[in-house]
Amino acid sequence: MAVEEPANLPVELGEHLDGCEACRAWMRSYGQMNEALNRLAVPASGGYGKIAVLERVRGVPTINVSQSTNHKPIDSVKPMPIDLEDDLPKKKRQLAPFAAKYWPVGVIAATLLVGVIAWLNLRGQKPQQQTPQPSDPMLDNVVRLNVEFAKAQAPADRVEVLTKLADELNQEMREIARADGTGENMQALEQMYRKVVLQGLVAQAKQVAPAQRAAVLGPIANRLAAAKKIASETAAASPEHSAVRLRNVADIAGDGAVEIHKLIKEAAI
Amino acid sequence: MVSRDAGHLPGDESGLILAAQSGDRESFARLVERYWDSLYRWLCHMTRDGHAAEDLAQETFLKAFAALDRFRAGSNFRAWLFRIAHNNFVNQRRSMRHSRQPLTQDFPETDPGPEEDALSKEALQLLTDAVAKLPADFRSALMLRAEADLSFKEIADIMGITEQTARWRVFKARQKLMTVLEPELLPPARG
Repeated sequence: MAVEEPANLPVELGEHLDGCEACRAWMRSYGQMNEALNRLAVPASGGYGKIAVLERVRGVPTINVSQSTNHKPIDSVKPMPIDLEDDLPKKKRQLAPFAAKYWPVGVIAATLLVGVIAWLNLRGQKPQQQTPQPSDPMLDNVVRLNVEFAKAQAPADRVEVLTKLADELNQEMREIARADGTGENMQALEQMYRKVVLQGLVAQAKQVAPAQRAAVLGPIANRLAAAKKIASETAAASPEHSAVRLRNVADIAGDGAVEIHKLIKEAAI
Repeated sequence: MVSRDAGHLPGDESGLILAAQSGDRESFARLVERYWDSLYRWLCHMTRDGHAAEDLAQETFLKAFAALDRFRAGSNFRAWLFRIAHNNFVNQRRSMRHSRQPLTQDFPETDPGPEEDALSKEALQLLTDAVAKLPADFRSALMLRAEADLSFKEIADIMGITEQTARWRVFKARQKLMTVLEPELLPPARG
């Protein structure tokens, strides 16, 4: 058992094994154990970590909102309580210029992305503070997703971007669950997550052609199911004011998965 | 379930590393693709928590990316990467001693694999539980050997111990696992 390569045994040991059935049986069991060691199942990777690394490594360009020369002063960009019943053209005038550029493409989903960006930008800042802020990884990722969404031509691609956004929000909630003393940030994130999943992602999923649904939406449903599990588990280890938000997010993810499965079933009929 | 990453091509890898050190980001991205699964799996065995493993894997690759210019071309990239991961794991474990521990996850069932020479489901569960119960240093050494296919010398470098100690830890871990599994695996002695 101290041998580095069990297949390469010392000569004298090999000779002993040739004549000893009991030791051969033991060696077989030992071989089975070693073989099983590198096949032990582990939880499936959520994928967000690898995606984050690859996109950071590939240096996907991001728009640094706070340093944009066209950027309106922060206190003129109202935090967006994303409400689709509002008058959308009026909302458009309130958006930062970079968001208005993406307006024609997937209006509702773009609104969601921009809303998240605006919320992140304002988070923790005083209204009169206009100096460039240190890089916020989540803000960078969401801005990048906004760019990706603008380039996405097909509903399948948009569904993917919105799923990534949902994953970002879910991860952010898990990271701040213990630190968010008043629960205000968790509440805002929960609301955004609800809109992204139920009004963004599911709405775009309905646009995916029936012939593509199983292949495109199957993995999305699995990711929502995984998000539900992760949120539930984190809730169990969080203070109650955060736990309730995480349990809501788990329900939202579960509802989203159910809706996606319905769409896949409809297409199969 | 996460499967092991496929083969290792040293010649190809040294080319990727040199290119990455020269600024070719896509080459480093390919190294991430190559090593993500095995690193993630090893971190899962260490943390017993898929989310923590994902976060540590992410942190490891980003640190490796930032420190790539300090990697000595021609030395073992896999061992270097796992050393970063091991240090991150140790640091996290140290900080978690002072804070509330997250719940660990139930791991999925392992596929028994081909019928011949496969462990039974019960034996696999025994093995999974026994691995989880190993002390962290022994589990680390064992799974670096099993998952990452590292030599005793490389394991020693990663863990900051002597090669002799690395060999001993793997030996003791294997011995413990065989003790747990023997009743399941071996026929009763004829008396």
